[in-house]
Amino acid sequence: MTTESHGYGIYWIVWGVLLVLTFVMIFIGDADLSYVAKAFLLMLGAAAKASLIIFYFMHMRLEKAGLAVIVLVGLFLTGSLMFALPAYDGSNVFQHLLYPPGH
Amino acid sequence: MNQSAASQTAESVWGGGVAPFATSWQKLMMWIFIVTDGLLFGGLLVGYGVMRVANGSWPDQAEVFHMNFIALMTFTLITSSLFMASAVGGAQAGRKSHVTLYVWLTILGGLSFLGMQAYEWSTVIHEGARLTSNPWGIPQFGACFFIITGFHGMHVVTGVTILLVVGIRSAMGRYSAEGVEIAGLYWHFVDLVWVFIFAFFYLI
Repeated sequence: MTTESHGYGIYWIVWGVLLVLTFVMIFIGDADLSYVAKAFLLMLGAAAKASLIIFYFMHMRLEKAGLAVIVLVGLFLTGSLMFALPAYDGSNVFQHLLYPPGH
Repeated sequence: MNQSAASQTAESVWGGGVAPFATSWQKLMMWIFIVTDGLLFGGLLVGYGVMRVANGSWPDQAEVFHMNFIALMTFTLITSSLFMASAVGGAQAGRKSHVTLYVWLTILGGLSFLGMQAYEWSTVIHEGARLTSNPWGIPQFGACFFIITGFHGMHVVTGVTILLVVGIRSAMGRYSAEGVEIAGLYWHFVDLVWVFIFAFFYLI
C-alpha cells in the first residue's frame, strides 16, 4: 500500500493549482486565438490537470514506475492512436458522406 | 501442507509469491479497470472528435451552455477529489474520524454534482435538445452531449454508491486503509474523465 509521509497540505496545493488551471482554461476558451492554438493550449491544460490528479490524488508517484508506464501508455498513447486514425478518415471520407459532391 | 504453509499461501495473494508492481491484487485490478474504462471514455471522446472533424462546423458551446455553471460543476468535482484524497490520507494515518468526515464530504460533493448535471440536462432538454436533433443545427451535437455526459454521470452515481458503502463502514469503524484508497482511485478517475470532457466538449 502506498503511504503518505506528510499531512493533507499537498492535496490543498494540488486543489488550488487545479482550480487555477481550470480558470486559465476557461479564459483560453474565451480568448481571441486561432482554433488550432486554442485546442493545443486547452489540451495542454487538460494534460497538466490529469497529471496532477494521477500523480498526487491517485498517488501514482508513489507506485512502481512499471505501473505508471502501463497506465499512462495504455490510456494516452492508445487514446491518441484511436483519434489519429479515424480523424484522418473523418476529414476526408465522412466529409463526402455528409456533404456529397454536387449537393 | 502444514498450517504455517497454508497460512502463507492464503496471505500470499499472488501465486508466484511476488506481487507485481509491489501492490496488492485488488489495487492492481482497480488500475487495470481504470485503464479499460478510460479507453471506453477515450472511444466516446474520439467518436465525438471525429464527428466534429467530419462536420466542419459545430455549435458554439458558450451559446448553448452557461459556462459559469459548468465551471461550478468542475469546481465541485475537483473539491470532492480533494476531500477523497484527504480521506485516503486519514485512513493511512489511522484517523478514523477524518476518514468518516471526508468520505461523507466527498459523497456530498458527488450528489451536488449530480444535482447540477440533472439541472443542466433538464435545461438543455427544455430548450429542445434530443438524442437525434437539437435547436443548434448539428444533429450529432445532442447525441454527443447526452451520451458522453450521461456515461460520466452514471460513473458518478456508481462512485457515490461505492462511497456510501465506505462511509457507512467507516462510521461503524469497519474499514481498511486500502479499501478507502481503492474507492478513492475510482473517485479520482471520475474527476479525471471530467477534466477531458470539460476541455474537449465544453471548451474546444
